Amino acid sequence: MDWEASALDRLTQAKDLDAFAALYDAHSPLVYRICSLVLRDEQEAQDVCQEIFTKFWEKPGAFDAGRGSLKTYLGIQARSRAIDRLRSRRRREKRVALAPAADQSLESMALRNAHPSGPNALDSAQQRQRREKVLGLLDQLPAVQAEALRLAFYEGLSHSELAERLAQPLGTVKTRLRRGLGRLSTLMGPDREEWL
Amino acid sequence: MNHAQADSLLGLLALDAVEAPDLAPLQAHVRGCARCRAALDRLRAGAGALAHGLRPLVPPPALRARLLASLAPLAAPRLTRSSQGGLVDAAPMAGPMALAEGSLVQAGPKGRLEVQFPGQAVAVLMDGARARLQRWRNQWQLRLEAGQAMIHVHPGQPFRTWTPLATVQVKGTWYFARVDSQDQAYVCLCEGWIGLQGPGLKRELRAGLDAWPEHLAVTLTRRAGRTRLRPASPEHPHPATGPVLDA
Repeated sequence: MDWEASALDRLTQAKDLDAFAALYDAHSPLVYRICSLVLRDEQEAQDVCQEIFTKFWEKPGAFDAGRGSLKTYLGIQARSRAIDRLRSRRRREKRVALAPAADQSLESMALRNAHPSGPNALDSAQQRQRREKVLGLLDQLPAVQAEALRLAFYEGLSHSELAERLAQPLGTVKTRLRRGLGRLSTLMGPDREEWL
Repeated sequence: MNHAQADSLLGLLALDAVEAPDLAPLQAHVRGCARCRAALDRLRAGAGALAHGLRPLVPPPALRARLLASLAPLAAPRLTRSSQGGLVDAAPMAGPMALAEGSLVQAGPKGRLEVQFPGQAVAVLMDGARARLQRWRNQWQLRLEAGQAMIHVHPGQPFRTWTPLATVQVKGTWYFARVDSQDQAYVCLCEGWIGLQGPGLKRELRAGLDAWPEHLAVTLTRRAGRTRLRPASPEHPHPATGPVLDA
């Protein structure tokens, strides 16, 4: 049993806080990155990050190892909850879409330039390798598909917001996303299981 | 929603981009359509990979501290150290371990055994003392069944110890409790506030007030089914003079 499975077991069986802290240390950098990218607000990103890990503490059994890795599970939770929070905020502010600020342009959010590495950046060799691989896969997609994926994934735009931002009919947006994701999945090939 | 309509929305669904009016009928269709489920799994694999393209960002340490502090009262107590042996549910202690609700811990006849309650307190059972771990409201409490224990409470945190005579609720730094028999117990508070509650007894005492300038000590006895309280001379062992626990 690897350390992560062992920690998960101790958390599930005995509510072991040390095991939880180890899992938090391993996965919070990805969760926090996703929350920060979607929400663009440090306080809200922290709130959602705390909410995700509190729920994980309460119900670690909601993670099913047969369906993918813990990293992917928490990443999906992060994105989903951050998007919920973003949409709720937008409804409150009665704004349909937020134009990116000068320092938050799509270019600056592009994966290879997501953020400069700073003292806070955690970047193991394996993570670097995976990131480079994703960048390589995205480079193989048509630019319009990659752009639609980036907007949907990292900005959490809904389908009508995507259509407005891309100035394209909804049908075109659907097609670009569908083809982009399908192509990405194909390019991942037999290694697909490793990513999940 | 028919299959063609659902199929056209699967890419959006994989990216959580479907809006409310379409979401429920789409999800209902996917639940009942094996082809759509298979297609969605494949598309989600692509979406999942996008997360790996991100450079991780360590959240502020204050968030970690806040999160762990909020969960600590819910976390399992840990048996951390012992000297001269110790028992957990009648089995010899094998090493540091998490303890479940209801666990019975016992120090060796001349030993000490340390239990940490994350975010709340550390209890050291001494000389054969026996205690059970229980939940009380949203916190842990020590049910001291026999013998003596020193309890160090985290500043500002309440911690409850049960004895056959009364429950002891403390906000302080550390205190000492001993069960002599089913009819007599002894409690010594070294600093802070103490609440005692039992049959016919409900008292709050503060070190520095109530005529006890420091090291507030009381003996609890049972008479006619009621718990009586009387001042006692402090006789707690100071932590600094006790035997060192093995790591």
